Amino acid sequence: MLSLIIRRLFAAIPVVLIVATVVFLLLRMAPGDPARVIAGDMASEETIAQIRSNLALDQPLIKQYALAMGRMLQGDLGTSIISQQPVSKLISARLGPTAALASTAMLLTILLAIPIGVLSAWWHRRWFDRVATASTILAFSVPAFVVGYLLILVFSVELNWLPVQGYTPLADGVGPFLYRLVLPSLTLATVFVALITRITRASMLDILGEDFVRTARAKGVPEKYVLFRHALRNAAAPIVTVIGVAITTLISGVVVTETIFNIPGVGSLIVDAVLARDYPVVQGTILFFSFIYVFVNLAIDLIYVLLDPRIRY
Amino acid sequence: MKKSLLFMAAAMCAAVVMPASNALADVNIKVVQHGPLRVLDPIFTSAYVTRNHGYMVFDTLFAMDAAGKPQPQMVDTWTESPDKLTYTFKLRSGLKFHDGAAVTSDDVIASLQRWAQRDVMGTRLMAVTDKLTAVDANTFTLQLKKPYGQVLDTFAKPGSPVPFIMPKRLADTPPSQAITEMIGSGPFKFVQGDFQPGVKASYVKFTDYVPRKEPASNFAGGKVVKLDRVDVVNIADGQTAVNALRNGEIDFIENVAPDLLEQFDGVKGVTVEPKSKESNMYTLRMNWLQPPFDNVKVRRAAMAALYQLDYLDASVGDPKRYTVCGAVLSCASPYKSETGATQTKAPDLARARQLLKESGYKGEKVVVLHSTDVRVLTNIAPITAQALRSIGMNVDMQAMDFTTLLARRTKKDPLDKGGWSIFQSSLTTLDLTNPLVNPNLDARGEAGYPGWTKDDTMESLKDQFAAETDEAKRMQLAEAIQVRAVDQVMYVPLGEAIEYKAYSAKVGKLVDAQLPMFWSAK
Repeated sequence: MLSLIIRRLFAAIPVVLIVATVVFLLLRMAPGDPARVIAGDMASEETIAQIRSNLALDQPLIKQYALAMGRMLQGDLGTSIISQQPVSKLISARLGPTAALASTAMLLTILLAIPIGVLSAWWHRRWFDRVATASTILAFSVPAFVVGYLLILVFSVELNWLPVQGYTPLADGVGPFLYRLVLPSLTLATVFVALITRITRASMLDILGEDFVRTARAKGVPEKYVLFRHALRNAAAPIVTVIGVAITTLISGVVVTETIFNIPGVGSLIVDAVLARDYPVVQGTILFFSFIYVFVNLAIDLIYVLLDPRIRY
Repeated sequence: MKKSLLFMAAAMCAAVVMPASNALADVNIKVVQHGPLRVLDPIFTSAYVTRNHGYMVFDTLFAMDAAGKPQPQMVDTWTESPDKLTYTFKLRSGLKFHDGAAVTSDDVIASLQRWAQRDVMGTRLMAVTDKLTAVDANTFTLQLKKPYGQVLDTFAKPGSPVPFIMPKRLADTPPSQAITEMIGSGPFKFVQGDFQPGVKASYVKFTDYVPRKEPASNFAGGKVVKLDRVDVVNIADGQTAVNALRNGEIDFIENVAPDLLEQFDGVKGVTVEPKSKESNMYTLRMNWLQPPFDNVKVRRAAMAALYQLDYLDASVGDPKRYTVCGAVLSCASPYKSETGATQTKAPDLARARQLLKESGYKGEKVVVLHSTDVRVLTNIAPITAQALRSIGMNVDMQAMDFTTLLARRTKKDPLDKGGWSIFQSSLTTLDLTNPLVNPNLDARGEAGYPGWTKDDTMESLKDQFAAETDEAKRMQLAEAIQVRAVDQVMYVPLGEAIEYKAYSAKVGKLVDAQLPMFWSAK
């Protein structure tokens, strides 16, 4: 297993380098000028030229690339062109809210989706399965911003039970932390509950039709053991894969939820940075996401081994 | 790399349990401004949100009162020599910076010199300045080469960049480098450690601030701070901000989108009112370097096809919330004149088509830049495109985000090489009311504001306006500027949107000012 981890980490190096290079080139090819964003609408051309020079944006592309890569290889993600703060500091300041939102949403997803998916497969074509299937189609179809605004309208504006926006860190208490995360987590979890419910149901249906399940039932194994010990464990591989993809999507794809609920996370950081053409922040954030992807995928591979000892890498 | 990754991993764990941005804290009021604050130096950038931040932290020598007249602010007394060439200013005693140091003449001179390198009015003033000298710690003189009628107006200039006074050690920074240490002598101290770019900025009462005795009036008068703390939080989504104010989670919204204003109807404890004497003007700027708008007759034909109500109805909607105005200096200007403006009335399209025919227009392409991500601009370009098509122009409307538009509009190239014909903006009237500041009246050609309007007559009129000390004659010059600007179609004012602020009872009664000023809030 150690050799797997080492091999995977080495394999990640070219991936990260390619990501960094592609992002660098895409950003430079995109129209827009950070110096102009910084200077403001009323600035003169001389002012903008001065700022561009100070930021080394007037240097040849290859020199800018060499500078960026050199810094990256030393573990330095650079400094924001706009706010003049280290990119690592900006990311770490925004990571807490995003990590909290993503983990609560994922926890909620797993707690809801897997039991619903298992029970849907077990009660295949009965009323529970039909209701669950219809609900997942609805959850897939409604965009996150509609779900978010509906939840706010009902629970915040009309009932005044929950806050509209903002984030309270765990350090301020579990109660306030969860109080502000309820609606955003529900919003974010909606589509993932639908997705993982569908995957769980489909995977379980396949497994429940296998000979070993029939054999277990014929031998009189209680149904709960058939479902959760025999069937679910064998159906777990595709479910874990989708959960892994969902985690990475959650970390990097929470922009809409963060915007609706005004959560100052990494999603809004990267959107702001793209709009302002803050090259180092965009590069640093995407690079950081690429590391997350690598580690989550590695974790998924390790979980496969734990779930199914037959799997070898 | 490993160190950085470890740092990230540690930060990921720590960040979950450490206090972050929007944490509930013991604050007096929470404020949502029109955009995120990312750059702190109000001289380095002319971004409006940084200007607002500057008014919290810094003070000015003079400030505009509600009548639009410059009044002393940091200055105690001043004299003007009989030949109008020497101004002597004495600072109020007891002025301190937030680090405890006294405000001196050297600080003032260094601040003015840095600011003047970035500001069009400052540049003009320095061009006629012979010397700026410190007489003693509290007194300085301005020696002019020739009489100049805009000295006090320049020091009281309210629009970006504002001549804020900062310590000499900071003001000695080249203006092309942003200052990040925020030490001013204004009524609020910036809480440096709480600043999260684009997320949150906090200010606490500066207890050593000595307000003037006069009542607050617009930017002038006594800045009596009754709050302990102001937290400026960014809420990007307008609907979320409205919901948050209704729910009591924030206390003030600087700009409420017109289509969201009705949501405050019947909500108790929330006041919605227009910003005083300040609005946002939609403007249309043509490119004078490239066909077809290098031809004044085509510009006149295009202008004849435009109608302000089309723009205002599409962008604002409710007639109570906009002003139809043909003044190039805006209807907020003491020098306003609407002479010659045709776009305030329903257009005579037959006449516009005739003008276009007479201009010799040969069907050249007209590229209209369309900003799609700035709410106030989203509906503007399609109206222009439709109006010009209706008189037979060959319009290519190109959609892009505003950052791209800012870069694109600097291209002087022909249209087939990335050039453009028309862009539209929304500018605060604070930046338009004085012809020396108004960027659309920049007639220096290729050295000037995109559109590159070149008109020596206009530059001459502005020079005369700047030098003139008699108010009545200035009014006459402003009228001549209006006539010339319309005749040459320097730009087309497309109407003024009145902006609305909303605030909770916790804020109390705000000073009737053109920008949010929290020194009177309770």
